[in-house]
Amino acid sequence: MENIRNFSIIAHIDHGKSTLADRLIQSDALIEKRLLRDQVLDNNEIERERGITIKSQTIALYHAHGGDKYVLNLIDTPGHVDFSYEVSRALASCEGVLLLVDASQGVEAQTIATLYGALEHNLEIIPVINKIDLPSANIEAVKEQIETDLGLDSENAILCSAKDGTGIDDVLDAIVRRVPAPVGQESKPLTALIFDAFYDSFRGAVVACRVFDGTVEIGDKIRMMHNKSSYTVEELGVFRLNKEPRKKLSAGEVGYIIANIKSLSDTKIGDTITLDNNPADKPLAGFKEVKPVVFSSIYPIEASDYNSLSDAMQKYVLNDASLVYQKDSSISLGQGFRCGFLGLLHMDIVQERLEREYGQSIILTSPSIKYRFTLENGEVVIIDNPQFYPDETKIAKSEELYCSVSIIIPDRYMGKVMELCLEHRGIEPKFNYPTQGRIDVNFRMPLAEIIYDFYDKLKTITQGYGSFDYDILDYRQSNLVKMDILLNGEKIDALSQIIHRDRARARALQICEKLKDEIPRHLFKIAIQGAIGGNIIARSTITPFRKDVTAKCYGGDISRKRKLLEKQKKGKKRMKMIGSVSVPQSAFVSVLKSDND
Amino acid sequence: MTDDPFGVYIHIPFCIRKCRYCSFYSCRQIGLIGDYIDALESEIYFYRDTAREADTVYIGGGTPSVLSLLETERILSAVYRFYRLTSHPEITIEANPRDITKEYIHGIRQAGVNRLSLGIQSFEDRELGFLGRRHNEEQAVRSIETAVEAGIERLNLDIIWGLPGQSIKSLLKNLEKAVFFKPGHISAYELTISEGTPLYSKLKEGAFKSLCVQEKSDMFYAVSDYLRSEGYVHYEVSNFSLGYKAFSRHNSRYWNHSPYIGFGPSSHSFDGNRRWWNWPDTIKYISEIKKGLMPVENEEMLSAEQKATERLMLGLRTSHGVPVSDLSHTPRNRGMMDMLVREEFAVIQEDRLCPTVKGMLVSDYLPLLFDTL
Repeated sequence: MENIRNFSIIAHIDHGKSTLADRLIQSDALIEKRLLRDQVLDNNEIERERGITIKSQTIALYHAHGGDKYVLNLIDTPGHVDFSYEVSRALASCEGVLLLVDASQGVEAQTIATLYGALEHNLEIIPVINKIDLPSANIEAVKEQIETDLGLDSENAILCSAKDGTGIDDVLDAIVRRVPAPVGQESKPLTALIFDAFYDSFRGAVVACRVFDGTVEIGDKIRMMHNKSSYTVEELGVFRLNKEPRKKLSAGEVGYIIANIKSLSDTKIGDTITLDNNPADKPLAGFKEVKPVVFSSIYPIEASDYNSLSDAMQKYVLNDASLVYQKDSSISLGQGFRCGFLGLLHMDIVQERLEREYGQSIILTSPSIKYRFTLENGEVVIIDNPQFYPDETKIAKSEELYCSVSIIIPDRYMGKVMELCLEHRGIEPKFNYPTQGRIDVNFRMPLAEIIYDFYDKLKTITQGYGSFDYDILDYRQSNLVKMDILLNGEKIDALSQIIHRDRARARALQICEKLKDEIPRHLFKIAIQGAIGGNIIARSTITPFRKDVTAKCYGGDISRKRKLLEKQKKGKKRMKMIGSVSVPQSAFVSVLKSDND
Repeated sequence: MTDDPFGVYIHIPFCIRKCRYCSFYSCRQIGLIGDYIDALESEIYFYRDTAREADTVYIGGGTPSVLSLLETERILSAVYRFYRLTSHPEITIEANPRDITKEYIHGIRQAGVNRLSLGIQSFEDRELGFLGRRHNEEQAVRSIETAVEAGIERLNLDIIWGLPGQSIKSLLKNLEKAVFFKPGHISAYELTISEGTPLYSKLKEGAFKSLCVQEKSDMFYAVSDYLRSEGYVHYEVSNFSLGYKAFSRHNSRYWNHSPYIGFGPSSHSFDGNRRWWNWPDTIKYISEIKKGLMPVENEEMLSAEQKATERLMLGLRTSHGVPVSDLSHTPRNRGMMDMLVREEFAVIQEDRLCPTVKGMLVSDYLPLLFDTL
């Protein structure tokens, strides 16, 4: 056990996390080089495009140091607030982290939230200054930032260039010397923390875990302590470039377990695995049931594609246990699915993957969170779908979810962040000063205010230095309305939303303008309206086009013209008819996208 | 294949000079004319079983009037020899105003031609120059007078509108000059500047500016309003006739999805199910036929869906429209028809959905509104 090091890498996008990981992997002489592709760790196409890691990947590296052989377990982490719980479980499985900073960009602490997570787990933090080969590298300035912005000792920061390989040995040395060896007892009952799980179409769920105490072997009957289910271990082993089977996993080790678990939803990140016949007294700390926060419906563009979408959803959730869904239907959109997501990024990713990997053409309805209504007759209803908004006249009280928001920033951004929070209906501000020059700003805020673009806005105004985390508290009384969007008087179900009365007009105007840009001109005038009940609160108009005709159409023109028409018709297939207006899918997407003003 | 009478189209690819807007296939190798007519005769003979009966014959170009009377007669007699004509066939020839003489008109009438289509385009020298025509205003007027005096039964005048810098006023003056002769038929085309034409290059160079959509729309209405006020029926996007009898029966085949067979390079044929077309190359055309081969470049079989799409696309170019029953099979289509009627893009007449003038102006878009089959 003293020869095991479990660590993770924390970095801002583009600061070279994947390249460093590749270098570390390449340093392992036993890994076949032909298996290495660039950026081994980010192997999902969408992750690469967005430069974020959604699903964490893990790899065990073999490293010789001072005559001893070490196993270095690199546990990769996702990089977005939607996935902060997964990050916390990955960090809980480590003893140390490499904090990677770009030598020319400096600390761009989107990383800061994760760093604070790491500090919470009492992890050893090793600052690594990367890209020192760049002409624009300014090592001294970065060191100073590490001291002042992150409150870390920069003296022992490691200088490296993952690109040209400089300093990689220093990084490896530091992992061995500075990251503490795991502590745990093989003799104790098994406790293994599930920090990730993925789906294998032949073997079912593959659970990635960190063993804290005890040993697990093939054939053992294991128990998921929170899920209260038992399975027999069919295979276990460690992560190399591929899974490498072993006979057992013991305290301190990181590896995988395959136990005929049918679907990912049977595994819960953060759950503790123990042995059925010799269970631990209590599970490892920190388990949280991950609950969807944002709800939206997915509909096929063509109603006839419902079955195909249904198949795709079934396959998709095998791979993504955090997506929950059930059947839904709407007057204008037909049959579809109501889905719960961890957040908007998660929703985006689900949409993109359904389209790209599963070939679906879909429309997502306006995202919603949960709202609570008390009716005149005393009945209490919780609604996450505007379709089920109660009869306005029968609502006695409307409430929305509030959360406690924690934002950690360098104190120079204080004013702007205060302003942002107040704009977003923040109340009851509190301030803490965790380190010199840093402020921890706490607010109570409606969940609806932070779910959409709050994090993006925060990143913008703090130039990336703001860390952000929130916990949902409870419902508080609010003034809610249902806002509808109408096209020539026809309601677009997909765009209806429950919203605070003070927010409705601005939001409706914004949607009207976006739709105006996205909906092509038609033969007739299109009135786009935002309405609360029968009350129009916003409006825009698309003027009709007048001319679309070619002067000549004789024998030789017909085939060509028909082919053009067939092509145009295919394009039109990706449009949804609302009354007699064709609305392109892009219009629905644009409305969901936050405004970057 | 169908037993309905066919239309026969004969392409005469030769031109003395290519007009600057023309995107049709043409060539200047008039030395080939003799060989070409031999080849045409063979091709006409090839297809004698495909189309036994012909109802319309149309000699188009290129410039058919570059042929001598004798050459024209040779071609037509080949048609008469191998195809049975219906009792009152429409036999049209296109001509350049400069080629019109009393003798020419007498000659083509003798050969059976009963309809003349004159490529007038404009009565203004400046505009004719811009278009690259080889006639002038005086020749345009004289050709019409000559044709009428020589007793041509039916006459069409081609007019082009929407030239850069043109005003509605100058456009109407052109039309008035045409209407003065009371031709039974007027084709009034919006100037289309297609890629690959000399005008297109000039446009790209910035030598002139095209009219904007608004101006062109206004002109389209002005042309239609004026000609209709003079008694013409606006029966297709660019075609007007004095009464229904003066329709171009041959061209209507294209819009009615009726069969036709085309001879000569670049000609297209349609038998009701299949479309095929010849190489757009006179030399290749002649040599293939000499080898005993069909000069066909390619063909396509139309699926039921494609046929429905074509019928819709073509029908909606004409005031005759399409049968409501072709569209009423889906609620969406019924909704679209209601919308078109409500917004005055179409009217329902005798169970047909018929585009109005406003509808014709968007006739490329109309078929997109409907589900076919």
